[in-house]
Amino acid sequence: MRNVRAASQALRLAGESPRQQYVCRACLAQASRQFHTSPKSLAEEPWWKRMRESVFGSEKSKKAEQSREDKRQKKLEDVAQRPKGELEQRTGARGVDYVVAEVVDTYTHKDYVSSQTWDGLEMIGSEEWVRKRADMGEQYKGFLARKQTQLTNSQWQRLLHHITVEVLTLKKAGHNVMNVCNPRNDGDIPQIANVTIQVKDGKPTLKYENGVDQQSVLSAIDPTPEAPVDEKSLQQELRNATTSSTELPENIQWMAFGLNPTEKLAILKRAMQLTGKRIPDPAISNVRTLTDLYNALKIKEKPKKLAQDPKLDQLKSMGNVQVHATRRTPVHKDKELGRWKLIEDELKIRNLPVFGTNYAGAKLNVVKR
Amino acid sequence: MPLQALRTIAKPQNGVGAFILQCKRLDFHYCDWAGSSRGMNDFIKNQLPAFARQNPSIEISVSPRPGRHPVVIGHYMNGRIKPICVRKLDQLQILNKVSLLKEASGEKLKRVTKPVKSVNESVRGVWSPFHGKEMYKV
Repeated sequence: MRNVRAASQALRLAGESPRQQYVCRACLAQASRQFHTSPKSLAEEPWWKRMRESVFGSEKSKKAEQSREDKRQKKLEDVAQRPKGELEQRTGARGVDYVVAEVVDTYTHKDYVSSQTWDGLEMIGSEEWVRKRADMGEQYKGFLARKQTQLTNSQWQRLLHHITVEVLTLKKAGHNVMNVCNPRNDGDIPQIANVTIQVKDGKPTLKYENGVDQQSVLSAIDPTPEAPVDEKSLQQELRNATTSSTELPENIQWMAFGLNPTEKLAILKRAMQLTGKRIPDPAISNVRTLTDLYNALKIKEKPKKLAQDPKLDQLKSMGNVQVHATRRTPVHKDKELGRWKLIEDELKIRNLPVFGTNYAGAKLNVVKR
Repeated sequence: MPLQALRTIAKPQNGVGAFILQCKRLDFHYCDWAGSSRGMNDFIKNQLPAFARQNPSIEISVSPRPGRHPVVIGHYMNGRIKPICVRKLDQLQILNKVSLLKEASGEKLKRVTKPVKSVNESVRGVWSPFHGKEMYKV
């Protein structure tokens, strides 16, 4: 009977003209929930059973509660068997050791007083908590160069050539390619610019020439660094890598070979270490070849303006044509006519703004389109 | 003093003896970024040099207007201006618009209904009922 009443109410609500009083969405939703077109006999469980479960809990929830209680009892028994003062140690997924807090059974410890306030508890996410976590005594080593160095495109080519030769040499010798970031040994600096990278079928091969061989390249890199690299030596290494009397190859065909993730990381890390230049993560993930890496690192050409187009040189030389690189404003027109001086003087005499407005907050609420 | 006949003075008419182009200046505005200016940019690069050479009496000004559609504005002797938006037009379509602006007089467009239009007085004169051989009778 109740359902029928609710259904009729729902239908009335739905069928009423829009001139009727406003009915909130919650009430409409409630009405539609109570409206069923299927007969009650088809419901999976009878109404009284569902009501009983919602009040006293279902069989499933009772079982879950029992299981939790059993586990708690078992844990208390374990704690009781353990020597007093010893805490449970557990190793996490990443190999981090945890000490599990002591479990206190309030039934067995009669002198236990449960806390009524949260004073003394660790506040996760508080400012103090963040400060504590930030300084846990870790010793971080600086990696990137503090000052970013701007290189020209030809210098980027030289630098990438230098690093790639070192990485490929380390790889060929069976060493860890990440050693490329290690400090360099004092002594003779190998002229890596003389080494040629030849690409055949998408695979690079090194051609050592003019007194540079694999051993000299390897011996320059310290395999087991004791001290971290210092800024001054990095700057010197960058200078060595980017300045050379050897001419650059005519094109960048020598870069057209694929990099595996380790090589890519090694080359990029070394480039970042020397120059301090960072590239966005999506750009890094899109890098497949050394050419891609070069394109990501090199200076991007600004889009060319029409006014700078060489085709307009002829136009500019004509007597009846004026080509302007910037937008012409009414002020330009006044200046051409020679009346701007008068306008400016008169505005100043009247204490009016020459350009725009005198009000400082005039452009605060201007929405830029 | 003998009576002198009225001397008619020739009225200046553009094109009789000399022709002065009424379009004195053309402004070309474009945007470097927007796609609607692609045709205009091509026009400025490829067509405008020849047009400027053929029309030395027209002052031409090329300037960017970033973020706006391309426009050609004609300035005329009578002080009027005629702007034409050339968004999305290709360079040859723009050339047609520019030649239209060049040839325009600057006047507002008017519907022409009579076959002949003249500034000259009628040679026959205006008919009068008092000057005929005989008195006009109704």
